[in-house]
This record gives sequence, structure tokens and C-alpha cells, in this order.
Amino acid sequence: MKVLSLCFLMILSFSLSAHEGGHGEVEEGGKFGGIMSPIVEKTEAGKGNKAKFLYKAELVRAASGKLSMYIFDEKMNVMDLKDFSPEVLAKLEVKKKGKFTYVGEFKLKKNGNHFTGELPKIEYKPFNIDFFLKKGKQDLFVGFSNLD
Amino acid sequence: MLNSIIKLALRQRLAVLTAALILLIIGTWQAMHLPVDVFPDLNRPVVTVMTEARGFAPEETEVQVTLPIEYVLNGLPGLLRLRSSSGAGISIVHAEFDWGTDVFKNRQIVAERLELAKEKLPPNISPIMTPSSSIMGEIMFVALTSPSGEVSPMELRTLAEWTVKPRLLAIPGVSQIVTIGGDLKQYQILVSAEKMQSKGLTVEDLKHSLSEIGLNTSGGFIDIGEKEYLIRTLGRIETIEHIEESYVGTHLGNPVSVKEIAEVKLGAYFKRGNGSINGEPAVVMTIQKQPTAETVSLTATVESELKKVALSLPEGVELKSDLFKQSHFIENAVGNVGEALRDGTIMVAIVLMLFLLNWRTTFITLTAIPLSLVITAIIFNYFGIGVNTMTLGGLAVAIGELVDDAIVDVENVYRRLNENRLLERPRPVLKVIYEASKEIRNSIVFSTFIIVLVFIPLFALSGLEGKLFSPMGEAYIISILASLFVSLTVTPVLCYYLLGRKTNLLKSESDGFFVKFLKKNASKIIEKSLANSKAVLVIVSIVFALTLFSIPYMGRDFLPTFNEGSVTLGLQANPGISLETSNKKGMEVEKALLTIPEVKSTTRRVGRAEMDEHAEGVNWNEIDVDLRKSERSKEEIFAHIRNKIKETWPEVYVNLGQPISHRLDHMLSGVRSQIALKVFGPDIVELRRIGGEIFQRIKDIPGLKDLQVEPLVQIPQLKIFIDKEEVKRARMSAGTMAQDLEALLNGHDVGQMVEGQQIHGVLLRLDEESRSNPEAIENISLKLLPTGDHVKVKDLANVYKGNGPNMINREGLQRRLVVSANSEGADLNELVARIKNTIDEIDWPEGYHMEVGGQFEGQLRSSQQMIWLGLLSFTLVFLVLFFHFNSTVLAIQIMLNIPLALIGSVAAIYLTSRSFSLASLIAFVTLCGIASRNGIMMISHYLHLMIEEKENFGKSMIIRGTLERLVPVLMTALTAVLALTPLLFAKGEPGKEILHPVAVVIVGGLLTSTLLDLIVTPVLFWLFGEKASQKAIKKYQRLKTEEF
Repeated sequence: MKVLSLCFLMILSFSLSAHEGGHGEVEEGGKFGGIMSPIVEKTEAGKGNKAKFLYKAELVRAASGKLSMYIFDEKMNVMDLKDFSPEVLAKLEVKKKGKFTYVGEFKLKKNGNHFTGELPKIEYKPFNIDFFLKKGKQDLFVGFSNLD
Repeated sequence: MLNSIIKLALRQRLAVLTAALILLIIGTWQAMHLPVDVFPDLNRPVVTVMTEARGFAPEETEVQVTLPIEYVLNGLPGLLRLRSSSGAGISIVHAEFDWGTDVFKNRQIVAERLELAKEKLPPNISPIMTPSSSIMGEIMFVALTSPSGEVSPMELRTLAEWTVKPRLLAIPGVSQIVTIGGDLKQYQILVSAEKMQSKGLTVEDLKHSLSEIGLNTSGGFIDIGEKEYLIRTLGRIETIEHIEESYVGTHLGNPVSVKEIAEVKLGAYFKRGNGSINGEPAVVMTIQKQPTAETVSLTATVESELKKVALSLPEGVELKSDLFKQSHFIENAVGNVGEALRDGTIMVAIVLMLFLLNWRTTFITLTAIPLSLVITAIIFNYFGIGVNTMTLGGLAVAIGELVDDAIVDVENVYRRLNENRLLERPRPVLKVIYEASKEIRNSIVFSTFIIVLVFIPLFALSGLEGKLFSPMGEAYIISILASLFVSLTVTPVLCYYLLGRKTNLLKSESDGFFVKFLKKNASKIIEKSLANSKAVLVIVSIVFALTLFSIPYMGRDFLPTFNEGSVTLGLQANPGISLETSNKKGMEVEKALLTIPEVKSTTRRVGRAEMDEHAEGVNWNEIDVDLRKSERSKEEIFAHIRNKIKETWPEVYVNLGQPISHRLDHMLSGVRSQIALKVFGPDIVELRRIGGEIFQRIKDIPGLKDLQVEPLVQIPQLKIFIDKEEVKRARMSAGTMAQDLEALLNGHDVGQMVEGQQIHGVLLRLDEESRSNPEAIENISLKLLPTGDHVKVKDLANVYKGNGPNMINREGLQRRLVVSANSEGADLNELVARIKNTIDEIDWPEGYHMEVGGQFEGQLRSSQQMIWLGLLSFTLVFLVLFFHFNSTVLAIQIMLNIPLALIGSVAAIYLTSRSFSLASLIAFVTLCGIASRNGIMMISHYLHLMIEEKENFGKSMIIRGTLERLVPVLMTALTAVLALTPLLFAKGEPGKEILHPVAVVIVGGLLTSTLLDLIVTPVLFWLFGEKASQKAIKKYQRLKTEEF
């Protein structure tokens, strides 16, 4: 139990720090009508615009709760996902009384040229989602803030 | 009856000539006063309902405004399609009715239904119908500028709204004037949140006390003594000071005036659009005409009024009207087709002179042209048909055929008079002329009847294509029938005066050297053909089979591209760009475009004007570029324009089109492109994702250009999420809180300021400092507690920067997204087939589907209709021929001219555009009638020789008959061909864009059908005609016996 609690606190502190530091912004508009965010090394999460942008991600959220995430290279070409891990871990936090709180996690799965998954029902707005993905041996991070 | 007409005309010769002269005078006068436009009336009955919902996000606009309106309009009688756009603060619903429905009746029904919708709409939001306008209603741009800058943008806009606009709207025919640019004058009460709190005032207090800031009211009448007095209460505000001194509440027992908590000033109405000309800021006014107004004369009236208006404008203001004008294209296009008509007539005269070598016969034949044209003009005037490129095109196609009936008549009369003169006891001239006219009467009437018959099913073409081509058919048929009438009346009379009484001019051998040469060579060819009849048929069949085989390899187009002399550029930046940046970049593009030598002027509109039915975001710049004439091709200029834009604003998406073509595309599918892939489904986000998937898959298909996914994207929004629990705890409702915030942040109209004849709004809103950032908004006070504490926004809500859709478009009550593209010279059918194949790979979610629209939609529909209508035409022609000749074999023989014509038409298309357009298909159906005429004349003459001149069926009779018909057949074909040469060599010239493919098909087809007809018809008649002709002769003789 102690270990679990410790893990939980670590995750919580990590996710908070990632958003407190920010995760930078992508200038381009999305190609699938979603919102863009840079993909950085997991270790660089929280450095904001100082982090090295490796790729770009576009998150498309349907009203049904379906989430689709596309990955782009520097030239905004949709990337082939063959080198990426089949699943992406997503962590959720909501803003309540001015502060973000961890509320749970879910997964996206590879589906052709993008990842898809279902967003759990969330009562409060706005909320943040942090995604943790792997490309080869590289641990990557991408965060989306102020979603509703 | 027809014989009686000829007889009557010959008896009343002077009366006929006098009547012809009167017709000539009246017809010419009426022709000069017919309304002129570039195209026939192409308006589809559309009623546009526009609702301003200031401050609403697209989602709210859709749910609260668009949906209630759509629901009440759905199911209206005659309604074909409902389209809508819900943008930030604007809802636009287009109700598209069926062609042929009465637009005024439609408007009445819509107005009645809108009354029902009003109950379901939020307070203070009322939908209005935009004025009834025309698809090509934007007739010109006018701009107000201040080159020296001494006149402010607000003064310019005020002059435009209150000086220029009312005077132009007073001109009959002007429907609407949409003004964009400058600053629209508004009185603003800008409240400081801090001062409001310090005085203990709330939003409710402000709204309540300022809602009736100043009014003049009436107290009725009273009698004082013997006089009646009207009681008036004068409370209207007239100055800024009046507003400043107005009471808004009480603080510590003292009255608080507006000036204590707010700044009152003259400001600009919240802008969602701007304008410029030639890269300089300007107030741009778009003048729209009413559907029935005539563009050219209306433009002249507007220009004349503008000259007067310019005199009353203050110094430093320039009124510019030398910008885009639709009348330039109309005058250019109509002038060009008029020239083609004139040149065609000259060509016809040359052919006649060459064949007849006789000025008298040439003169008689040529009179058919002006007489037929003026009769057509009189009929046009009677039925309210105007002059446009299509009606003129119909006349240009007909011009060579107008003389056909006269040629046949004159040629026969000439020959018979000649024969009569050689008789020992010549018969009376009048009788000879009557009988000669009667002799060919059947064939000319029948061939004319068939030409008309072939065209009639084309009137059943629906949609835009029907509207476009019907007037061409009307002009063609009316003029052809008029020429038939002239050939039965005026031609015999002129023959009497010019040929009958001057028989000394006739020679025994009347053929000129050219005709002699033709007959000599034709005789040899016919003899050889008859000797090798089966080989001739085999060769022709092989050529025909090759022709059919080549058709699938040709391209398909709906309508040829126009050359309008101006360009409409749509520049689409990423949504989310500010108006200021978008405006600045747009002006830079304008300046870059002006460095292109052909660019005469640019008029630019960014975003949308108030009352503009285009729900464009501020990321959309529309530039209308007026071009000078140039040696460079349209394609070269367009490429130059694209390059300039790319250099100046690389990240912007460019849609390059031309004003009229652009509007036609818009009318066809509601989008501005040749190919429109419409994706329907319930969720806008998922629609956009599917759109992205389509884009990714089809972007590399060769031949596609301007590929674009409708920019329905996430734009930045500052959101205030109300925490229901906290609101409840504060004893407030979420609705009241939302309304209060709307009033403070978006503004609330509290009254009007009347300045003479001008009325300006008075707006209450928080000042910039109190609403310019999330922190300021969080600190807005919503309620004053008895303790003296304020309940602020941050206590009840989360204020955060999020995203939301920029626009929501719907069609047929479903959300819709369009992926649009144009073809870069590729065949539209082929492109769409490739796109469909590629898209099939997409995994479509449940509830989502796609439809293909754009020009492709029209092309598919019209091609299918044309196939059926063409079959109907052929069947009708066959039936008429069958009843005339009483022989299936002879009817089929005549109709075999149609495949002969197809050989030439396809070859001509191959040599020119290599693409079939709707115009080509229509031209081919027209050609069927003209080509059948040759066969009728030939076979009728064979029968005539056997019946009247007792010739026996045989090679000598066929050769004689063919040679005797050689001249009229060649003359009629050559006149038709040469009359079309001005259109043939005018590809892409303004006004001739649609007529060029028509000319290509007719000229190619006529050449082969005429030349092969001289070989194939004699061969077929020789092989299969004996039995059939005997049957036809028997029928003729039986009818003749019954007659007596």
C-alpha cells in the first residue's frame, strides 16, 4: 500500500510539474481539426518552450468521448507509427478551485496512422491530459491543457 | 396551307414587301432596346435568413438560433435544400427552392414560418430575410477613401452609410448595398469594474437604470381653450454630456451618475471585417441588383448618380467607382458574340456569292438573315427574352442556317425559271415560281421541322444547365422558324421581282466555274462509290467504330471555363488570426498584386460586413482583381498571381476563381469549387478528422489543385465555466450570471442617439482594462453581499483559455464538412473516380457518409439527362421521317447522317480540347437535326425525280439527283460551317467560352456528314432504296388520288 501511495504521489507530482512548467506551444494549425502540442523527451517535460521539440501531436476529441491522436514530423507530415509503442498512457487532471488535481488514467491504442481511445466522463472544466508514449527506446511526453 | 401561304404571298407581292420593310424597322428598333446581360436569368429561388447573434460562439449560434430556424423552414413546399452556417455571432440559413417556384411566394412562406421561429429564439434576436438579389447580383464596387488621411475612417463610414448608400438605394433596380471598412459610429458607455464596485453598483443596477436612458414619448392630446395640443415628453439624449449625467444608482444615499463609473465616448462599432482598395484602407460598398434588373443600364445609372454624389462629399474624400464592374464583362462578351454574328453573316455572303455568282440570287438569299433576325427580336421583345451570350450564341449557330431555306428555294426557282425560258412556249413566271417553291416546300418544311423537333427535348434540361441552354435553343428555334416563314413569303416575291422579270439575265448554262468544277469531281466520286458500294460502307463503318472507341478516352467537363477579365481571390489564413493581422497581410498581398502588369485595380474585403450574408471569419480575405487586356494567357496571369501571393503570404491557402464562375459553383453545390466532397455526420470534430483523413489520402492525386478541407478548426476561446454548486451557494442562478457577464463583456444596447437624420447606437460595456485579460474578468463583481463583500466571477467560475470550433456548417439538417478541390486541366469524371477509389479505404464511423457535389454533380446529372433527351430526340426524328416517307428503310437511311456527323464532331473535339462538355453534347443533338436535313433533301429529290420526272430507279437517276442537290447541300453546309468560324477560332474569348465547343462540334460534324452524305446516301439508296422508294411512291400516288 505504501509503495502504491508513493507511486501515486510521484505520478501526481510529475504531472503537476509537467503542467506547471508548461509544455510549449506549436504554431501550426492541426490537419485533422484538433489541437496541437509538441512531443518532447519525457525527461524534458515541464521545461516549456526550452524543451527540445521532437515531434508534434494533434489531439482530436469527438463529442462521444472518442480521442484520436496523430503524430507529425517537423514538416507536419503524418508519421508512420510502426516504431511507436502500441499503447499510449494518458493521465487526467481537472481544475477545481483554481488547482489541478489528478483524477485518473486511460490508454490509447494504435489504429492505422493514429492512436485512438475513449475519454472517461469528466464533470469539471477545464482539464488536462498528459500522454506518455514510446518510440523505440525513447520515452516521450505530450501534454494538452485547458480542455473541456 | 403552306401552299396557300406561298400563293397568297405571290398574289400580294407589294404588301409582302411593305410588311417586310415595316418588320425590319420595328424589329431593328426593338432589337436595340432589348435588355442586355451576360447570361440568361440563372437565379435559383433562394431565400436567405440572416440572424445577428452578437457575442454567441458558433456552438450557441447553432443550437439557439440556426436549429430553431431550420426546424420551422424544413418541409416548406418546393424546398430543395437547407444550408446554414453558424459562426461567431452570426447565423445564416439558405433555403433553396426548386427552379421555377415563385421567389416572392417563397419569401412570403418563409416570413410566415419565421414568425413561429421567433418564439423559440433567445430574447432580442430576430431573424431577417436578406433582400431578394441575383446570383450575379454584385454588379460593382464603390469605395470611399481619404488619400491624404485628413478624413477619419469613422467619417468615411458615416458618409458611406448616410450620404452615399441612401442615394444609391433609391435607384430602381438596386437591391442591397453591403458596406465594409472604416469605423461604424457608436456611442459607448465604458464602465470601469473597479469604480462600479467602489460605488456598490451591480450589473443589474446598470442594466436597469440605463435601459431607458432617454426617450421622447407622447402623452396624447389635450384641448386647451379652442385648440388641440399634442403632449410630448422630451427625454431623448442628444449629447455625450446627457449620457454622462444620467442616473445609474445610489451610493450612500447620493445619486451616482454615469460619468462617475464610466467613460462615455464616440467609438467604433465592434468590427468583424474591413476593406481596402489598391492596398489602401477604404470603405468598400458592394452594390447588388435586383434579380430582374438589367446590369448594363443599371450600372450606367449608378455611375451617373455617383457623379452627383461626389459633388456633395467633403474635401479630402475620394469616391472611386473605376473598380470591378460586371458590366465590363457583359459589354465585352456580348460585343464579342455580336462580332461573331456579324463576321458569320459576311462569311455566308461570300459563300453565296461564290456559289451563285449572281448578285440577285445572293441578295434574295441574304435578305433571309436580317428579316429572320428582326422577327426574332420582335418575338424576344414580346416574350421578355433578353440579349445575352446564350441567345446571341443561338443566333450565331443559326445564322448559317437562316439562309438555308432561302438557298433551296432560290436555287430551285432559278433552275426552273431557266428551264422554263428554254421551253418553246414558256409558262407564266408567277406559276413557275409558285410551283418551284411548292416543289421544295415539303423538304424545307420537314427539315426545318426536324431541326426544331430535335431541340425541343433540350428544354427539359433541368437545373442550371437548363436555365443556361434553353434561351440558346429558344433563339435558335425562333430564328429558324422565322427563316422558314421568310422563305415561304418574302423569298418567292423577291424571286419574282429580281429573277422572274429579268429572264434575259439567265443563261442556258447557269452554273459558275466553281459549281461546274464541283459537279465534275462529285460525279466521278459518286460513280466510283456506286461501283464499290459495299467497300464504301465497310470503310465508313470502320471509321465510325473507331470514333466510338475513342470517346471513352476523351475528357469530360461540365461547362467550359469563362474568361471574365477579372479574378476573385479567396485567401484563407489559419482561423484564430486577428482581424488586424489578417487585414494588414491582405493589404500587402494587394500591393504585391498591383506590381503585375495586367492588374488594373484590387478591391478587398476581409471578414464580414454587418448584414453581409457571407458568414466569413476574419481569417478570410476576398480580393476582386480587375485585369487589363494582355497578350499573356489567362493561365499565365493566374500563375503569376499565385506566385505573388505565395511570396507575400506563404502560409495562406489560395482559392483563385472568377466572379461569375465562382458564383455559379456556389449556386450548384453551395461551395466554390469544381469538386466538393461533402461529409455529413453528427459531430463537427469527427467530421473534421474525417476531412483530414480524406485530404491525406487524396492530396497526391495528379490533376488536383486548390485542395482544401473546409477550415472548421479549433480557435482560441476564453471560457468561463460556471460551477453550479458555487453559484447555488451564492444564491444566484447560472443563467442570470451568464446574462450579466454577456452584458458586461459583450455589451448591451441601451438606447439610440439621433443626430438629425442619422441614428447611432448607444452601447454599455466594461472598459478595456476591466475585460482585457482572464484575471480582470475573474475580478468582476457580480453581487454585493449585505456584509459589503462582493461576489466575484472567480468565486463562482473557472476562467481559462481553451478552444472551440470557428464555424459550424449544415446542409439538409445535418452537420456538414466540405473537402473541396479544383481540377488542373484533368478530366473531372476521372478525378472523381480516383478520389472515390482512394476514399473507399477510409474506415467510416457509424452515422457518417459522403456525397460528391460541385460542378461534377451538375455534369453527372446533365450527362444522364442528355442521354435520355438525345434518345427522345432521335426517336421523334425517326417517327417524323417514317410518317413522311412511309418507309423505315428511308427513315433509317436519312438518320445514318447522324453517325456520319459524329465522326467529324469527335475528330474536331480530339483536335481541340479533347474534352466533352455539356455544350458539346447539346451541340451534337443540334447537329443531328442539321445533318438529317442533307439526307432529307437528297432522298426527297430522288423520289421527286421518280414521281414527277418519271425517272427509273437506277444509278443514272441517283447520280443526277445527287448532282442536282449538290449545290444546295454544299451551300447550306458551307454557310453553316463558315458562319461558325468566328466562334471556332475564338477559344477562351469572353462571351464565346460556351459557344466555342458548340461551334467545334457542329463544324466538325457538318463537314463529315456533308461530305460523306454525298457518298454514303447514294450508296445506301442504291443498295437498299429500290423497294422502299417504290413503297413511298405508291403512298404518294394514293394520297394524290385521294386528294382529288
